[in-house]
Amino acid sequence: MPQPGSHWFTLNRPHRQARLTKVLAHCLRESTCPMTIRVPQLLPSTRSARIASLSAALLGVGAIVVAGLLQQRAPIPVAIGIDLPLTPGAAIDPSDKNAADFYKEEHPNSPIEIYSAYNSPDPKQAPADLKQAMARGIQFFINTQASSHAVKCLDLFASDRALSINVSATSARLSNRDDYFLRLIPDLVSEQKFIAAKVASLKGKHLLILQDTSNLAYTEPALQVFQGQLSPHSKWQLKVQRLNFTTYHPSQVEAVMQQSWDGLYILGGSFLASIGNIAQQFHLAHPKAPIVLTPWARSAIVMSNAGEAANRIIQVSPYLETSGSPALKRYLQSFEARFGYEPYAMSLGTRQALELLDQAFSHGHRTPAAVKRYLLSKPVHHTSLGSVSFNRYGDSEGRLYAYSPTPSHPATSQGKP
Amino acid sequence: MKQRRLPTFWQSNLIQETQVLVLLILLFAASGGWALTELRKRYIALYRAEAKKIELALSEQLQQARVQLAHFAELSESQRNLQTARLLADFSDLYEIDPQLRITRIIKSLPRSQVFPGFTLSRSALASDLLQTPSATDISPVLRGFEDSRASIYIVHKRPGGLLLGRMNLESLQRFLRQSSATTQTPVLLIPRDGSVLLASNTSLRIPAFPIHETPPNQAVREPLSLAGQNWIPILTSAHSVGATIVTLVPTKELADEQSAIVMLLVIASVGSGTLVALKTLRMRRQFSQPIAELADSMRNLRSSATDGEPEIAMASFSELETIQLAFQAMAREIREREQQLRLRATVDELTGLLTRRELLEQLQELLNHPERHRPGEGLAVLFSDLDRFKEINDGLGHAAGDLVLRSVAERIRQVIHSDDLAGRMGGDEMVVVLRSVADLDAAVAVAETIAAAISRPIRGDAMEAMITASIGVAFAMPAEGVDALIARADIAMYEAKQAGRARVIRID
Repeated sequence: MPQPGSHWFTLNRPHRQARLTKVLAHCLRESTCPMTIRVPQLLPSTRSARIASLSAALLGVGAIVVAGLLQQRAPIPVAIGIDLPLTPGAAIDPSDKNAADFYKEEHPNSPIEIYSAYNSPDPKQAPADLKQAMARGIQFFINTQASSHAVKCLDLFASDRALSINVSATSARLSNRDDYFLRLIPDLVSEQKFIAAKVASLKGKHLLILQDTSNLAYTEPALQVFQGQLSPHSKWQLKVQRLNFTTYHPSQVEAVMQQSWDGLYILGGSFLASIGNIAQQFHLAHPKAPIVLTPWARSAIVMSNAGEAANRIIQVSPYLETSGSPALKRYLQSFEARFGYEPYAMSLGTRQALELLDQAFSHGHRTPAAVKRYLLSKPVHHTSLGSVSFNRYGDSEGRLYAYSPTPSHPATSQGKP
Repeated sequence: MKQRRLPTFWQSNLIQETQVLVLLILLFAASGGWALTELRKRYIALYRAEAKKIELALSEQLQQARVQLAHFAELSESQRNLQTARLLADFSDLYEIDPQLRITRIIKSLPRSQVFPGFTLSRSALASDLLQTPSATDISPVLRGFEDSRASIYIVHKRPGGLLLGRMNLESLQRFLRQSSATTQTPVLLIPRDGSVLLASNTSLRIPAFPIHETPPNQAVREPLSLAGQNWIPILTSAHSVGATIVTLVPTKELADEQSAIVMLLVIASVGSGTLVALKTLRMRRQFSQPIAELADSMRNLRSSATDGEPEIAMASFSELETIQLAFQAMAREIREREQQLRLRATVDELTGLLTRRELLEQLQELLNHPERHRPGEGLAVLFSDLDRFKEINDGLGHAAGDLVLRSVAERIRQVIHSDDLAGRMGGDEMVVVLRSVADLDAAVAVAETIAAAISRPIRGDAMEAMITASIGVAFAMPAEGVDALIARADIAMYEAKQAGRARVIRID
């Protein structure tokens, strides 16, 4: 039991430092005003009381300094979201996991401690997946969740309990919210406007749009924005064909592809190698027609499966083409040398998010609220793969690029030793 | 100098036993540690061999598939149809490919395959792994198939005008891993360099990725880790044939159970040893330390003469201790006897049987110190006697006759005095009688005259007869008179009797 006039406290970690400081301040105040000391039964004289109070104050200061130092050195768990494959039996794409591992290998002194958080293919399961990670004390998340998943998890990041940096979900429902959900990728409105503008600049009249039904939370509003942006005054006549890219079979679209088309827009809502097969199937029938891909599709395995269709692909991405960015090229080369394959583009955001968190941590910000304040307080953050800008709601203000991938060497197998 | 306090035998023994026990426990711990390590080594060694077998079996299966594909390629074009291809159970997909790496004919494929005739592999991983580079082999590493993104191994057979490409039947590969896993009771994973789990024998484990930092040159055992809620010891075996790593997850439960059993055994052995040592020490105390302590007490008692009787010693539990006890008892008995003899010599004159001078004086002193012990009206008197011309008997008849005379005189004195009176030989032929309770000097003189009369009777021995008289001085103790003064007065009276012509009693007032 506490003695009269003594301080008795058991502090939870988040409040420890603040409470200790208050107690220390109280001790200091009393030590400068002996008349107010309320511990005569403990301290025989005023002089002794002063000495005791000062000693306690010094000990308190020492404890705070040590606690501060220890806290600064304590590892901070950061969960990296890894999407489990939509295709039953398919292996995961380890790009995000390996990006995080690679970052830790390059930055061994970083306080970041990586945890793998697997995202179930079922969007309904997404909140439970994150809650499970939060229950383990994880406050920081870097995620490649698709919009279908991210939208369902928004409530989890309404308070400063945890902070998520999403690198791939573009749904407009995630935009303009003052929460702890930050994004490194422009939302679908910006994205689809950009793509529509790009398509509008292409030659031709008939555009086939293949809409991925495996992530309608993204592709449905995206299609609406795209159509709304392109249709009114455009020369393009649009034909929308719904297709589940996960269960895609060439026979499902064989007939429509045999029709006359001047271009194909593969509105893919997830990272799937089948996008490459679809592109190649279209290319066989229309060898000269351009094929427009969403940012999701930027990956070596899509290009690998696209075959010669890669020469007609127009890739939209928040990142420059590799040949146009020496830093990106260097990173991808060293990544490939380390793991034997080229990661898909969304994992570049994972890398950038890790760098942003590390910058915040190195400035002493270690809570979701403090990290968010730090990230939104600077107009531009510089990372090794380019700069990042947030608006006041934590949405990306970065630009988009459209380019034709440079035909290069064949893709490297992921299993190559 | 302060005497060093030594521990008791029991304490010393307890310390030694404790030291032995600690050493024993350390020995148990060391041997236990060794046993645990050895057990782990042997446990893992079994699984290492099994893991190696999986790698070998996988290579053999690939080799077998390669031969099948080669035989298939030797068939005529019309024979290379779906019916024949179905016989190649090791392959799920079979293609004919032109030199530009375009699929010209799909001979066999899975229903879910996303590949179509005309599909080109020119930018795929296979192009570099199998088809184009000079160092290309005919078996691909394990990779994601372009048909369905699932784990795949491709085998290519080059033939005039094109290539024959077969994708290994994953179901068959999965079955193979499952069978291997069932034999060893360990999950087996097939993992490329990127760490993703491409194939797993046990899909219920749901391990999407495995932390593999680099492919081991041959085989490596990693530190235990927790996956899917269980602890495992991963054994990484390089599967060179498919450019991947076979990870065998050895469950730690069985090992942990056995290790726990060893630890429990060691704990029981340690606790048991401790208990045995404690019991032994207590028994040692009862059977050895206590008898020795009692023996020591008896020795101390013997030295201090605290007891006169036979020393009491607890029954011995050992023959050696019994020997010591018996020897001690015999020695104690002998010491008692000698002590008694010495005590007798110190108090009784050996020749006459009277008290020695010292004993007589001591007893006289004791009597003088306690005058209250006398009956009212009575006192203590000293009769100092000296034989007349005793020297002539000694010189004339010999010492034996002299001794006979002295013994006879002493006997006659004893016969005259009361049993509680004292009679002692002061030396030579001088004898003193202390009358403890006489009414006065006259009464004492009367006793002295009786003694003188008794002495004067003829003394007969072997072939001799002697007559002797005694001169006796009598003194009655005065209040607070000391021994020396009383004896001196009696002596003076005796001297006066000598002076007066011997054979008489002279009193001194």
